[in-house]
Amino acid sequence: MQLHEIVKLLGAEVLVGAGDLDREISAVHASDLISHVLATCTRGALWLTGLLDSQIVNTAELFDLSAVVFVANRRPTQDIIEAAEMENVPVLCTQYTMFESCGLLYSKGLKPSRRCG
Amino acid sequence: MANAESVVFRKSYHIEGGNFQSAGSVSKKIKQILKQLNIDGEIIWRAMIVAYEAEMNVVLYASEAEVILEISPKKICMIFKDKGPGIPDIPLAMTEGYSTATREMRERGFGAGLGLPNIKKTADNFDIQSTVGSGTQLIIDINIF
Ligand SMILES: Nc1ncnc2c1ncn2[C@@H]1O[C@H](COP(=O)(O)OP(=O)(O)OP(=O)(O)O)[C@@H](O)[C@H]1O
Ligand SMILES: [Mg+2]
Repeated sequence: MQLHEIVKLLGAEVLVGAGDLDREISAVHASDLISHVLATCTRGALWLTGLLDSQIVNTAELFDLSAVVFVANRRPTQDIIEAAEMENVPVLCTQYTMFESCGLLYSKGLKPSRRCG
Repeated sequence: MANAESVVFRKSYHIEGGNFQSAGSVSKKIKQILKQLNIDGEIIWRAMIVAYEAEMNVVLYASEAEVILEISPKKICMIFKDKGPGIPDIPLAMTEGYSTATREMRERGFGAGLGLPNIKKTADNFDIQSTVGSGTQLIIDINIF
């Protein structure tokens, strides 16, 4: 599924990366823990989170995640937005809660981001 | 460490413990170098997992560290040598779920106790040594071929 379809599905606002909405997404990671992202994420995964921390963008860029979605209308601060613009990490914001966002994406066939082996 | 003759790139970096502002910057610099050397994306990704886990442990638990990056045609070697409290029980620290992270660290999204096991799982070679009251040293290899 392309990122623009996810924007539509989640009724999301695109805060950063309007030009990168053709990114292809097959797996999703949903967590407020950076530790969990590090231990389980796969390249190209979409990251749903409610955590507002400056390390989010760093983490997404370092691990080749395709975009970050802030759920439950958590608004990223200006420094997060600026970092995302610099690092070219698309940032979305949705009104849906983590539970609802996951449910919507799951029902459309998206898979959990999971490492084999 | 690789043979001196076969090392094509060597650089050292400094990590400041407790500084969340600059946290991750050493990993980022290493990523840029690996990209410039045209190393495969999947290998860079694995190198970043171990680098960032090790870097964050310094930020969270140590006072400072020196990082030595050595790239040879066969592998990427990273040495993290920190000054800090050291780890009293390494097998315990290597156990998934064990963490001494404070509440503040957990609020920042760390402290699941997964970092050291993740480094071991992701690396092709991993060695950890620690002296209580002095510091910890990690030697991590990621094979290129
Ligand atoms: N460089 C270090 N110096 C001192 N203690 C350390 C160091 N690295 C790890 N430790 C100790 O080992 C424990 C386990 O480390 P590990 O990286 O596995 O988990 P964590 O950092 O607590 O959580 P996570 O990595 O999942 O965010 C830490 O909680 C800490 O007590
Ligand atoms: Mg850790």
